[in-house]
Amino acid sequence: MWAYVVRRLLYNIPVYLGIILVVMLALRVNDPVTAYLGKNASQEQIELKRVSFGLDRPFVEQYGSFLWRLVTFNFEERSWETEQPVGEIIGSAIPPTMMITIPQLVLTATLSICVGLISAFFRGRPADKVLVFLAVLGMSISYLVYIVMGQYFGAFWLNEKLGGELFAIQGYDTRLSEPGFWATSLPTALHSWVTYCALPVLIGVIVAMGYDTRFYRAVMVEESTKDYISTAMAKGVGKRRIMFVHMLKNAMIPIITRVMITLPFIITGSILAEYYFNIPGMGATLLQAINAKDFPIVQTFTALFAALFIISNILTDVLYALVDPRVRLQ
Amino acid sequence: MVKRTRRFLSSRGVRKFRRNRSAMVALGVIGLYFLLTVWIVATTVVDSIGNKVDALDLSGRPLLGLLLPEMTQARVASNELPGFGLEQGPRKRLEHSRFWYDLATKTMTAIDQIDPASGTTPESILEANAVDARGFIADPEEARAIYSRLDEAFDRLGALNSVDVKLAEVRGEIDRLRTQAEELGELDAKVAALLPVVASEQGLEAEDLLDADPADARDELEDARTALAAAAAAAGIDADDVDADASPELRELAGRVAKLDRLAELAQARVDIENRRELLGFALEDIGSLSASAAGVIEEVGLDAAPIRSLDLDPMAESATVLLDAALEPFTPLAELVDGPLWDAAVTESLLVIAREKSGELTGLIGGQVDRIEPIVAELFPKPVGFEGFMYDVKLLLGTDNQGRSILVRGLYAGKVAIQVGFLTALVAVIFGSLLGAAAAFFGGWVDHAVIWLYSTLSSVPHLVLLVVLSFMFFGTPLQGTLVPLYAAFMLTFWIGPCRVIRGETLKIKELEYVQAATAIGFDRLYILVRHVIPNTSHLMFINFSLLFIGAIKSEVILTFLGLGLAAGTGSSWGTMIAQSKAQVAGEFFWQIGSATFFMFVLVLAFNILTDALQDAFDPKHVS
Repeated sequence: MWAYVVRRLLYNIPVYLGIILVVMLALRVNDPVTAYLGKNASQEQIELKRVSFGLDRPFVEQYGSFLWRLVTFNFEERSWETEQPVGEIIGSAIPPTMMITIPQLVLTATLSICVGLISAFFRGRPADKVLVFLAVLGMSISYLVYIVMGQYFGAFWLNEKLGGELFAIQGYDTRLSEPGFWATSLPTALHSWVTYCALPVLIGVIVAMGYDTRFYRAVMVEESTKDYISTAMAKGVGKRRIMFVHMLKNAMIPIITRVMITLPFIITGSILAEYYFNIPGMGATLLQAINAKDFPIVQTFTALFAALFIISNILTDVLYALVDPRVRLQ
Repeated sequence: MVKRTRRFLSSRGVRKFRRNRSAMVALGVIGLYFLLTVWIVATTVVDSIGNKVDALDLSGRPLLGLLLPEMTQARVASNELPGFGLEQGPRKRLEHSRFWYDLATKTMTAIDQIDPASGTTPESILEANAVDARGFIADPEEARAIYSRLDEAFDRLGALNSVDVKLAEVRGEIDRLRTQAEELGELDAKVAALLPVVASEQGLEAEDLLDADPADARDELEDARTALAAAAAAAGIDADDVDADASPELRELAGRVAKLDRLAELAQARVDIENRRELLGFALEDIGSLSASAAGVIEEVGLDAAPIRSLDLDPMAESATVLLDAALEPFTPLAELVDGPLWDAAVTESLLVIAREKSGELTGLIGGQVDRIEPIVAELFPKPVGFEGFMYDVKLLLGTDNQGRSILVRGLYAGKVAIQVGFLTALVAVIFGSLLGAAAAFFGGWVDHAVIWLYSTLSSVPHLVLLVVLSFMFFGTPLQGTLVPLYAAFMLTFWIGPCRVIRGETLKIKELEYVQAATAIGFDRLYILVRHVIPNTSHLMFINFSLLFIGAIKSEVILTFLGLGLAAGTGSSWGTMIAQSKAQVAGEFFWQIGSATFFMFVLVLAFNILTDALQDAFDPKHVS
């Protein structure tokens, strides 16, 4: 078991090194300093900035030092736009992202599994057909349209109809990032959350449900063709028990795998939702940094995202091995 | 060749696919989009050849020149025209007529300023200022006569507009009044509650508290707080946690802080009340004068101003004076003032009702005026007839966007962009990915490890982030804003899916008997790979092609929306249309976003159905 884990870890190290290499190369194709300072910067300014950030050193040195800083969790380098240390920026950007992604993940997983189960249960009958049709319809509309329409109907129009503000069109309450706020005044915190975060969460859930429902339905349907199900039915086990006790348990393997794959999303967040709902999370910060050509943030964020993905891959592999003994013995 | 095709079309998978009716419909829809692309490309090519050879110039032609790239940027009519010839409210119709009026004014001024020496004629100017197929009436004299009638009609509208503005001001003031009265009531209640408490605490009379300066009170409060914090820190507990168990000094300090807090609150509330009373007084004054001038303007325009004039606004003026005086006299209970005879809420409410009514009547009047204006506009700018007229109506079928461009033309052209991006990306990605995956699985060894390392690396960065970073690479280069960064980003990221799938499938096929037989016969490894293995994975390649097509279209829309794809102003794409329509949605104009979504939805839905059908027919176990 542990041999497997160690093997996976060792295997992923060159992968991570490769990612950092690719990212650093990609970001240096267009000289970052000139891109940031613009065309009117004097040669002196460019040189100054370059030296101060160490961009004049040979690439191998830069690569090595960046890796070292990542490994030692040294996030002291400062953003070019705001002069804040990148570590601080990350620290203040993660809570807003989590305010949105964690409820979104939990809701999507629960709802899609239930709908997938129902759909597989009534396979072929009208209920199933309607659900699958709705899922395909939902998948065919762009996420953007959901955001624009959601902002209009969910916030603007609804607020006018109700005469008050139920969902805010944009924005975020920074108090929600502080655990102290949740501890002391829970009702206010909840109200604030509903106002600012509920709409993006809702939109994200609706968009993701189309894909997830089809996947979970396919998984359940595939389970239902297995032999042990027909044995159980021949034995006279009730359909409900078959669904929830036998099928669901065995279908959990691919389900868990899929949920685990979406775990990094908790921290990386949804760039689009954060950008258009003005929530200062990780995705929005990254996009702003890219637009402002703020090199340190882009480099560190991307490296961080990649690290999270690798970690979640490893965790997925480990969990998979725990749940499915056949994998371990490979 | 024909025989092979026929054999393919009657194979089991394809037969199952053909029986799926919705899949055939989907295929038909996709075929339509492809035909559209071919049409656009053909006309563009012919037109660009025609630019060198005058005979083939397509840009003026109604049908052949409909979907040329420059037509996506050409103004067709006024801004934000609704589709299907639907009518809008009077104010929107006014905006449309105003557009034509402004155009006419500009043209007439240009005619007036013709330099006799330059040789330009009025007719040429009239022609030059036409909007797509709809232009001025030919004769300059007649045009000028019609224009002067239009001018008169718009003058009358100017008066109507000023009434509109006045009435809006009145309504705004009344709203402000209400809010301030509410706030004042709340402050009053707060003072009433705090006053006895603070008076007893400080041991003073109520009148003595009149002079409490909030700033001083706050300073004292700060000092007390600092003292408390210091003492608490010395005792080792948190300043907020001082309770019955703490030492007497600490408790006294905490008590003092609380009392000073209340005093500061009271002082602040008193000052706020003074300010609010003043504002309330001013608001009442304003309402009085505004409604008087509104009545005057209403009469000018011909509406009946009697209801406004019959309202007795004197009590309001009195209330204003009293309130302004009361602002200087603190602690006079406001309840008496607000509910009493001085302030007559009934008057302001009736004023609001009348203002709304008149607004409604005004909209009617404006509507009537617009009804008179529209025929004049139609005379000055006669609608084209015949085939050209028909094509012009077709262009207006889905309305115009905020720059007057035809939404239908832009939506259809965007379809071509989408198909182009999707097709090229999916093709390259599938071919490249499949070859790589098949080679990796078939040859094994270091090739396999290298390919797996490569795709693990690239897939470890979130998809969107990778696309964004890759597009970022092209910033500042002349290629920014064209489709090239999009292609580069997609082709570098999309090959991973097919690679994985084909690799998995090849691993399975490698162990099958016919491959072993071929090896035994002595065929070259590469030959076996190309001739036996890859054709047996081709069904998965089709499925992935379909999936990637959708992925490319959707990602292109998102990237363009984020500002990283096609720049606005060069052709059009669904992404730019959705991005530009975001502002329009707030103004309840849904035609642009609706059309873009509709065109995209139909295509993506067709592909989704196609993919499902392909999977059902060729890959029932859903390997991909």
